[in-house]
Amino acid sequence: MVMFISFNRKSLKGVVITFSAVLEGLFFIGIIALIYWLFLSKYLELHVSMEEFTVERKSILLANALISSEKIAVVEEGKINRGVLDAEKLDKFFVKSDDWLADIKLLLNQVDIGISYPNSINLVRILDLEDCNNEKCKGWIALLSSQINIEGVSISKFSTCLIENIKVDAGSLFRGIFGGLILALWQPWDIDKCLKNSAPSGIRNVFSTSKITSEGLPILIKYPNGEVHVGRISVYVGEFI
Amino acid sequence: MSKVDRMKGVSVSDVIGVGGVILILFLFFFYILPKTFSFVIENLSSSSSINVAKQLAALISVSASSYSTQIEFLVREEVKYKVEVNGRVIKIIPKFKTTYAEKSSARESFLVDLINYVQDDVNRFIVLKERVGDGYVYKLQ
Repeated sequence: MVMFISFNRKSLKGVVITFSAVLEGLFFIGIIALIYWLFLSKYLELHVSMEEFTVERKSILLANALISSEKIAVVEEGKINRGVLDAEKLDKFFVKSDDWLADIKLLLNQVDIGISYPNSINLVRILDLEDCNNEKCKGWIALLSSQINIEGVSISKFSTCLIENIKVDAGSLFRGIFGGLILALWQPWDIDKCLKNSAPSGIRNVFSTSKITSEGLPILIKYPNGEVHVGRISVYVGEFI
Repeated sequence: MSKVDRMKGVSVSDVIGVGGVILILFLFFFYILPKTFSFVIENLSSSSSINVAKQLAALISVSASSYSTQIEFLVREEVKYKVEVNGRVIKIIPKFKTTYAEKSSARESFLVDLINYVQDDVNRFIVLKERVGDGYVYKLQ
């Protein structure tokens, strides 16, 4: 009987040790998961911020280039009036937003004024803020024609990129033990980067989400009768491939 | 079940727990942490390919807003790049070892038609816009 109790206690001791080991393990996993979550959330936040900033910057640059373009701005005595758009020129290149066929015309007539981002949707909306009815203002819209740049798949680019990024450092030994020769020589993100840089831009961009922003710039619209109205130009840039 | 077998079970579960923790630590310190820092450093560095590509693309795009421009952009004396302009896309490949590993080369799109250009080992760029006839010509030198 004595023998049985002592045996039972010993077996319970084992259970206690296992239980504490599991708790310790869970504690460590919890700590690591917390750090991982913190870094991952910040990392994603950074990525999103940078992407948003890029689209914002592109839209502002496009809007600035448009309000300075002699194709739509007022030109007097050989000088471009920056920010003053000519209603007659807008009628010529753009589609009137109050036209009931505006959406179809917009898609059918892409405007080429020599300014647009490639592989993108470049949508421009100009509003006359002094010609509004029930909070709906008249204006013009246009889809700028966009060049398509698609490159071929490059095996040589991929291999050159891999050779350029071979890394032999203190971490190589650990990476080699866990992941073999490939991970010993290259960090996973190096391989990922080489794949992305070697793939055609069209394929790479298919996986990125469409980016659209709607910030606008103040402008003036000059009509043929000499009237000048206050308006706003908004530019939407979205990479589609 | 003998006592030895039970102890074996305990030590096996310990090994799995410790191994799991080591694996997570390994992933964190050798993958997640360096990747995060790499991304931050690359975006802060003024000489990273991604920032040089952005700067150049922006300068080229900005030149569309004037009659004629000559913009000079010097990155840093000690760094060199390979530059490729194709259509309205510029590609920058650094010719030096980077401490960050997020991207070694970068592409950026710009607004106007630039004359196609390939140049190796450069760090000084001049963006030119000139009036030729009724139109404009954009060049990178």
